Amino acid sequence: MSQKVEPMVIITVVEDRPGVLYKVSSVIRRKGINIDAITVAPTTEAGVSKMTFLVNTDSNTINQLVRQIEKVPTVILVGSSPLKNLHSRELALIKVNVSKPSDKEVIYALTSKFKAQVVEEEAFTMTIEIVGPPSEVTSFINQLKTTTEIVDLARTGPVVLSR
Amino acid sequence: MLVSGAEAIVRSLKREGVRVVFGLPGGAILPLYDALYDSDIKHVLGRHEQCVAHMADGFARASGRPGVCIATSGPGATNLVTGIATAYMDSSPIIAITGQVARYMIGKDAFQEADIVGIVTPITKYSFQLTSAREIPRVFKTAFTIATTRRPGPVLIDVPVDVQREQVEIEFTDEMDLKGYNPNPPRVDEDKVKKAAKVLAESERPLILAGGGVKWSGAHEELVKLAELLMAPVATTLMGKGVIAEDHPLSLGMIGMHGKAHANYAVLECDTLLAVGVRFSDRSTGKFDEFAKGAYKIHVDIDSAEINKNVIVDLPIVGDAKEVLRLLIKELIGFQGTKPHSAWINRIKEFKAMFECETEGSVGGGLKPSMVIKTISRLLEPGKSIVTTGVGQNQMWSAIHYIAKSPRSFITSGGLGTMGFGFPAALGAKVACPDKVVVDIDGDGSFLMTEQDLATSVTENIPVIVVILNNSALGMVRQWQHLLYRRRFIASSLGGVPDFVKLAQAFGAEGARPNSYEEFEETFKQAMKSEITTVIDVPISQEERVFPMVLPGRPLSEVLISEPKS
Repeated sequence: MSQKVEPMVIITVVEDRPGVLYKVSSVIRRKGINIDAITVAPTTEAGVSKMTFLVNTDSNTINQLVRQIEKVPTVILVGSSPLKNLHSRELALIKVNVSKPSDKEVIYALTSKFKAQVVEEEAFTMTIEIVGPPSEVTSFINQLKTTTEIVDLARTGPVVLSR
Repeated sequence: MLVSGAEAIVRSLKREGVRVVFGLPGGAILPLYDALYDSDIKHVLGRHEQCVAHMADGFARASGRPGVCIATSGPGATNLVTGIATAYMDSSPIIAITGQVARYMIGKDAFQEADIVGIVTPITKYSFQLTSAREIPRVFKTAFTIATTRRPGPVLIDVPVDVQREQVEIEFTDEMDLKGYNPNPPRVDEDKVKKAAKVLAESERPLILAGGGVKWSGAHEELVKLAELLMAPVATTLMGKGVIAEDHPLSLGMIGMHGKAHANYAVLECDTLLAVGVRFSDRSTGKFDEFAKGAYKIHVDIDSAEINKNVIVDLPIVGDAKEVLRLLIKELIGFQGTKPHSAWINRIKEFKAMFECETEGSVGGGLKPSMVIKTISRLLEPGKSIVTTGVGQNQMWSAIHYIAKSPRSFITSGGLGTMGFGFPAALGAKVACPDKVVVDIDGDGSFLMTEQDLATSVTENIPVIVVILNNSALGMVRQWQHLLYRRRFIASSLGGVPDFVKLAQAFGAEGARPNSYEEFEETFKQAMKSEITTVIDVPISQEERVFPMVLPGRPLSEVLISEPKS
């Protein structure tokens, strides 16, 4: 039974206490699956957090994983979905080198095309912020790479909501 | 009321009905021991923490009630690990309480500090580290609930030594901290039960496969009733051994790598398989894809994560085995059109006859293990005896030849396959059931791993019988080397030491070495009456092999009845 491997999201609502992330991530590790991104943040309910895991796998494996994660007593809710079926947004901060003034113009053109923001501008560097679907963030970064040198980069990984 | 953390733990244990704990003290757990001094909870002092965990496990498996073990921080806690993993793999409810260095020392690599919660996370159902004595009533209530409900399993509670000493105002309540855990069994989908009943009633060659889940759920009576209603033969996994009396006309015995050949053949030919409380271990199924290939598979289990994990099934029913079987019986009683399966039953009789002498023709000097175990099986009274085993050939011979007649009468480390399990598990079982005769059928290699707890057995007055099938070898390793590694025997001969009779005597136990079946029977009868542990060292040949056997990774259809001609 071969299944398509694609970006999948596991969303867990958990009790906010030490060791929860360790327990859930160890279930994923036991299945030999790499975690591509994690976000953890509080919810509207006190003492309850939401953790979002991005993994690359097939739907069979993800169903197994979800049932295993469900068993963790500190996990209140768990669900999964292909990334493409969800509203997803990611934030990236990117610092680039600017060796000559004309570079800046190219970068400004690119940021305006992608609706990105310049957070800080120095003589020889610029820091840019972009928020968008993960694929858009990736393509922005790829285009930046062709224009200039990326000095540092931080991505949050996707946060998601069901459609 | 104002109590210390240690006193709160003792009170919590008492509230859970704990009357006996197995443990081995050390610095970081001494406040708890000091509190035990004033309580009427019986403490059994083990000689190695691995053993106290196995004792708690044996206690749980024999009684169905959670077993409690206690160890100190650091090496005390890490020595529990094998025992906890053993309980986890076989879904046995044990509560492990470990001492920990004081809160302000945690993370500073203090003396005898180990991150035990981090270490046992993958092998416990859940684990706690206390940060305040105030949490004790709630955490203990939660821990016992998690360990014993749904699919049972081990829970560890790590208690920093200063938390044990902390004096706090405590209200004892039955409140729990369980946002993400529902202790009640999952709701059974009755439409699925109806569907299953229909398929079973209409099938011509039904087969029931019963596992450890039937035992933990207490569903053995329902199981037999359903089997009789359907006239369906019942095979078991190793963990399910005893859930149907193995002398019942519908019982086939164990399936799997060393299962009964006719049971494996029945799996191959059935048209409907009702698997109850099993997790389709590779040792039971052989090659997953080939397992009961043509059959419509119904899988009843309380743990939804087991559905389609190893074997893909047609109809999963998530629920408690007892409840599902009851519902199935109710459906089937009213069902018209249940066919007599005389052709199927006759076919199974044919299989049985075909493999009647499956394990007899063996070689070498010494006593034959099959004969020794059959003698034990004959001498032990059903309902009044428990057999535990080591791991390896001794275990598989016991699984094949010992006729288990009631649930919880056969205790063995199935999932993890922990050598050294048999003897401490026997001690735990004897503590749980002091009126039963408890026999550990062991190997010399296995017994040597935990034999120091003969001291526990003698000083704590826990008499059991240890039958060592002694081939001076790691017998199963030799068997694999023989069959799979062209008889290149390396590191599998144990050199014939120690002298187990003298060893037993050195501990103050009885020791005997029978050289004939008559002598064995006489010794064993004596041992059954003895008020002290008896070690019976039975010499067997290194050439003895366990058959039938399905080679690892092969389908059940390729069962070998005897040694292949090479």
